[in-house]
Amino acid sequence: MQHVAELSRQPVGEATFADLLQPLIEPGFRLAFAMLHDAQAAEDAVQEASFTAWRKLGKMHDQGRLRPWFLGVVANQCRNARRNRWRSGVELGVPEEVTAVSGEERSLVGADLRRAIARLGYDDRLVIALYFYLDMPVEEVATVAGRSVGATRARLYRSIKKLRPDVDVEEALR
Amino acid sequence: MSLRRDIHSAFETIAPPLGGMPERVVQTVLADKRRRRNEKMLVRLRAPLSLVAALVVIAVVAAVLVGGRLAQDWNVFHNSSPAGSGGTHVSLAALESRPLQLPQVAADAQCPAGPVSSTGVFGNGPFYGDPGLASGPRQTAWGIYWNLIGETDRNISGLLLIRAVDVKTQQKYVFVGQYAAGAVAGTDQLSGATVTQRAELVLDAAHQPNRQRGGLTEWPFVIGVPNGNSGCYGYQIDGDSFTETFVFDVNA
Repeated sequence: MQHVAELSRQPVGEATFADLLQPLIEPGFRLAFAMLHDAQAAEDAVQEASFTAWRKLGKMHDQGRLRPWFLGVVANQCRNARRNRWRSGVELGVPEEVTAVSGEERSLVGADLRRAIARLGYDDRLVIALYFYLDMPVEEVATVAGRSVGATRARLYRSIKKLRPDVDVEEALR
Repeated sequence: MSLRRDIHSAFETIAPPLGGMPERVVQTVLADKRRRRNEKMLVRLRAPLSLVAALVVIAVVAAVLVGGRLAQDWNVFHNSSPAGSGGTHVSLAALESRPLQLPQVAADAQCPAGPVSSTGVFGNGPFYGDPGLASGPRQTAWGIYWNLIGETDRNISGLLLIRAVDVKTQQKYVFVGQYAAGAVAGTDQLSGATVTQRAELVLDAAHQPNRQRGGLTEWPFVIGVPNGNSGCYGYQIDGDSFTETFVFDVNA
């Protein structure tokens, strides 16, 4: 694969575009799925983000930061998608009152956590998804979120407290 | 259990496998790009195509006009009469429409004969009347018939219309036999046969008789003058580009 840093500001060919974009689809989809909790909506968001990437890829000043930039586009698509069609825990097929934490019912535990994440605001949910589900460092999360590292770290702290009020934040960040 | 592990677990238990989604997404983008490129080309071509369409319309109209003109010329070329025939010349009707320019004189006035040449031939051409070639006359209850010979230049073309009038009495003379044409003025018994009197004599240059004399073509014809005529005969000859008149006085 051609290294993105080698690309200059010139029109990107189809082969190059495919080489650049294809590895980003999987993390893009995971982010969208974590944000929207709907596989089809997540794929739509990634598809729309890919159209945007095609139009703007040749205009990027620093194509070495392609991954966070593309995830930022996906995140923006998710924001728009949620504005148009609010996703709730009901679509996960899990009753609202279920709060099981037993190891045998992992899916139910997961549902509880997903519902908690779904109740977070967009910015909180974004940093949680990027940091914990995509395993991105805070610096890169800040790039995707378009915030400073400090602001992103503070946002991450608050989000963890909202998600698990009783958890030790420093321990959770590990 | 850490929060990170819980979140991974929460989503990975329900996340569908990607399968061929990355390739599908990329190919969809590329296909859309090609479609947009084609649409852009169509948009770019739209103005030139409009121009081409306008030029085609102009070309078709021009072709119809030119083709029509060519067809018209072709038809004229193929349907026209042979050279010297009346088809390309002034029509008989046009000649007949010309008014008589013969003089009208009083009954007791002198007959304005002429023009006449030194050899006694009347007319300035291309038609000439030579009274020396006249024969007859034959008298009928209606009037007198003269056998005359008109002469024409050999290079005449088209039709020659000859009308004759008594310039004193304004009686219209008639013609019978060969070359007699026009409206029927009546009938008469001449030399034991019924003849039709006609108001005109028409000579067709395309069908000149094989009678040549002195570089002129001779046209034999019969003219009838009714009883009561003054003997002052006026002739008017109309052709393609001329009108000729002369007056002949039989009493001179």
